[in-house]
Amino acid sequence: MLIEIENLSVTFTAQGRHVRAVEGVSLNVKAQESFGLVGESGSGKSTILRAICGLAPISGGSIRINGKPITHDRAFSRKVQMVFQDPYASLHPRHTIDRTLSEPLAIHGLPLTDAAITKALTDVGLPPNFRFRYPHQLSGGQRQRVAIARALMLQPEILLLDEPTSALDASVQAETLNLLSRLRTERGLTFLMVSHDLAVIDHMCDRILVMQHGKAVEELTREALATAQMQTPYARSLFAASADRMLEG
Amino acid sequence: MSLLTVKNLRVTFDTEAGRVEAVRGVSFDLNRERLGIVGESGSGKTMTGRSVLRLIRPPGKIEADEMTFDGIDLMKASETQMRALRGPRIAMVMQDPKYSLNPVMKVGAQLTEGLRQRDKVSKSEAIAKAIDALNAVQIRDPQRVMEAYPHELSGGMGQRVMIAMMLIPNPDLLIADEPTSALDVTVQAEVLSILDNLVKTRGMGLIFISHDLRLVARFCDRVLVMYKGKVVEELAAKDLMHAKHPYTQGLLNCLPRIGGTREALPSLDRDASWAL
Amino acid sequence: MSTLTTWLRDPNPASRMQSRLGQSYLSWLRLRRNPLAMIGLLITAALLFVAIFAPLLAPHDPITQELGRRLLPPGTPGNILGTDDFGRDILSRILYGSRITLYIVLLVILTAPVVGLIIGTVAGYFGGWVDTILMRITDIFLAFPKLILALALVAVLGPGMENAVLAIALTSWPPYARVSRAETLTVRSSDYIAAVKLQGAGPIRIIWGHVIPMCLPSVIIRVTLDMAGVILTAAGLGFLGLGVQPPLPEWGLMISAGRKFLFEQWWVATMPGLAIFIVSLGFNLLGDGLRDVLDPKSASK
Repeated sequence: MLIEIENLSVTFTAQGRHVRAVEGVSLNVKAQESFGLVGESGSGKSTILRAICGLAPISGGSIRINGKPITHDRAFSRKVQMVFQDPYASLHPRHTIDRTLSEPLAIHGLPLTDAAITKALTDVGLPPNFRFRYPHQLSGGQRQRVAIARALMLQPEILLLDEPTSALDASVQAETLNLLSRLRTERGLTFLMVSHDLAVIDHMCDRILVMQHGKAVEELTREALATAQMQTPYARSLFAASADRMLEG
Repeated sequence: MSLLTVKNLRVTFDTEAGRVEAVRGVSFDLNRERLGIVGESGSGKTMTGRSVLRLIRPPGKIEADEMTFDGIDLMKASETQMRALRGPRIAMVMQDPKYSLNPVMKVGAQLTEGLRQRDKVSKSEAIAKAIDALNAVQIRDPQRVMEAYPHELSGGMGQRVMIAMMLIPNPDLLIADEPTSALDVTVQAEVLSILDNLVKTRGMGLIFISHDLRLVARFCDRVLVMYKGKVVEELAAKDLMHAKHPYTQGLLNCLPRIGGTREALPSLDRDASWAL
Repeated sequence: MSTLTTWLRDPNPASRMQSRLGQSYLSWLRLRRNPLAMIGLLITAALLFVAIFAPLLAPHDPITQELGRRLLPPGTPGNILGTDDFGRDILSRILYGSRITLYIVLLVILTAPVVGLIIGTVAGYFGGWVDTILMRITDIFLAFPKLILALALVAVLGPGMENAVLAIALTSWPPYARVSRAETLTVRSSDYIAAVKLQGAGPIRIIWGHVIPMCLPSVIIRVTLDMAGVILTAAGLGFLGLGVQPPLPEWGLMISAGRKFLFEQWWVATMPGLAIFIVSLGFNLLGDGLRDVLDPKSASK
C-alpha cells in the first residue's frame, strides 16, 4: 500500500470550541491507483487531503506513506503534491507563471533551466509564450493547468486533487480531466481525488469512499457505483440526487 | 403581450484593454414560465440577467432596441422608477447568499425591513408575512431563523432565506443567477423544487441562469444557449438533450457520466463561426 | 512610441522584465485617468525637481544675511516672496528647504515602512506568542501621541536633523506593522501560500517572496498618505527648535521664526506654510490615486 490512513481524526480548535472535521476515517490507496473521496460540503473530504499535507491538525490516528509515518519535510514535498480547488486562489496574483513554476525548483536547489519551465508548460498543454504572463491574464482552465504543472515540477508520486475541476466550465472540466488522466498514465501517478460530483469521481477513480459529517459511510468500487449497488441509505440518496449524471441520461 | 420583451440587447465595456462586448444582440420574450439561460463563463448570461434590472456598473453600457417589462420601457425608465421595480416587481437571487445578506443584521430584521419601510406595514404584520415566506421556502423553524445572523445559517438555508426575502413583495419576475451552484446536490434539489412550486402557484416568470445544462434541462420550460455574448440556440428544455447546435451538443458530450467509459472525454472544438 | 506601447501591451511577454513593465504600464494608464492623482504626481515631481535644481533656481543664497533688506514684502523686485528678519530671500530659502524636506521624507520612507512591514508580516505569519509580543510592542508605541514621543526622543538624543528623522521613523512604524499584519492574516490562509508551503518553502522565503508582495501595495498607499504627516512632524520639530537647526532653511523653522511678525509681516510665516500645505496636499492626492491603482482588491480581476 502506498498510502495508509488509519483511524484518522482531525479536530479544529477555534476560540475554545472543538470541531471534529474528520472522525476515525481509514483508507488505503495502492501505488498507481486512483482513489476518490466523495461527499457534500462539511463531510471532511477535503480536510483529509489537507491533513496529509500538514495543513490541518491531526488529533488521532496515523497516516503512512510507503509504510513510514509521514513527516512534513522537503523529501515529503517531492513525493506528494496537491492541486487546489480554486485556480483563482491557488496562484500567487503577483507572480508570473515563470516564477510560480520555478519556485519549487529553487526551493529544492534543483537546476533551473529555461527548458524545464518550457517543458512543464507544454506538458500541460500551454503554449511556452505564456511563461511570463500573470495569473489574471489567464482563463480559469489555463490557471488550473499552471497549478497542475506546478504540482508536477518536483515529479511527485502522489497527487492530491481537491475538487480540481469544480470551479471550471464543463468543456474546460473535460479538458482538465483528460489532462489529468493522461499525466497519470504517462507518469504512473497515484491520485487521491476529492469531488462532490459523482460523475467526475466515477470517471477518474477506481475506488470511492463516500463520506458524511466527517465519517466514512461506505467504500464502493467503480462497478458498484455504476450498477447502483450501494448498501447505505446515504450513499443511495447521494446517488439518487446525481441521477441526471447517469450514462443514459 | 408577454411579461418581458428584450430585443437586440447589447452590453459593452470600455476598458484600458479596449472595448469588450459582453452581450451582443440578445433577444427573447418571457411569459409566466421558466426560461433557462445556459452558457459557459464569459458567455454573457449573467450580464443579460443584470441588464434587465439595469444593474450594470460603469464603464458598462446597456443598449437595446426594446426592453419592456409589463408595458414599462426599461430603457427609458428613470433611476427612481427602476428602484421601484427592483424588488417589488422584479427580484434577483444571486449565487452566494453569503454576499447578498447583511452579515450584521438578523435575518428577521432583513426580511421585514422592506415591508416596514416601503409598504409601511405594522411590525407584527411584517413578522407574520416574513414567517409565511420562510414557511413557503420550507424552513422548518422560522422563528429560530428569524433570530439568527446570516453566518449561523448553512449554505442551503441562506439561499432559502434569500429566496424568501425576494418573494415577500410578490414579484412578477424572478431572476435567479446560479441560485444552486454553491449548494450540495441534495440541497440543490430541494431549493429547485421550492422555486418550481413558487412559479406554479404564484404565476411568476422566472429567468434561471446556470452553467449546468442538465439542471436547466430538468427544471426549465425553455432554454437559451449563449456563447460569447450571443444566443446560439433557443429550444424547449425537453429537447435540450437533442440539441442541434454543435456548441450545445459539445457541451453535453463533454460531461462525464456515471458508468461511462474511461476514454478521454470528447473535447469541445470551438468553431469561429459560432461567435459571428 | 507606438512600437513601445505595443511592446508593453504584448500579451505574451518574452521576459520577466517586459512582463513587469507591461503591468506597470497598465497601472500608469489607470492612474492617468484620475486627474487629482495626476495633480498630486505633478506636485511631487515638482518638489523633486526643485530640490535637485535649487542652486540653479534660487535667486539668492539662502543663508547669507543682508540686514539692509529686512522684512521686505512680497513683490519687491529681486525678492518675489519677500525677505525675512535677516534680509534673506524667502523664495530661495523655500527652494533650498525643499531639499531638507525631501531628505527627511526619503530617510523616513527608507526606515519606518520597512521596519513596520517586517514586524507586521512576521507577527501575522507566525501568530501565537510571536504575534502577541510584537503586537504589544507596537501597541506601546501607538499609545503615545506621535509628536510627544518624537519630542521625548529628540530631547534624549539631542536636537538635529538626523535625530529628528530617527525620532520620526521610530514613531511612525507602528501603523505599517498593523496594516501589514492585517494583510498577512488574510494572505496566510490562502491556497497559494499553502501550495508553496507544500513545496517545502521555509518561513523566510514565504514571508519575503510571497507575503510581502501582497502587503506592499497597502503599505505604499499608507506611506504616501502619511508623508504629509511626516513633513508636518518634521516641521513641528523644527518649529519647536528640536529638529533642523538654524540657519538651515527648514520650512517648520521658518514658520517658527516668522511667528514673531505674524501680524505685521505675515508673509514670513505664511510662505513656508503654503509650501508645506502644497507638498502635503500633493502627497495626499497621489496616495489616494495610488489606492485605486494598487489596491489588490480592485485590481487584477
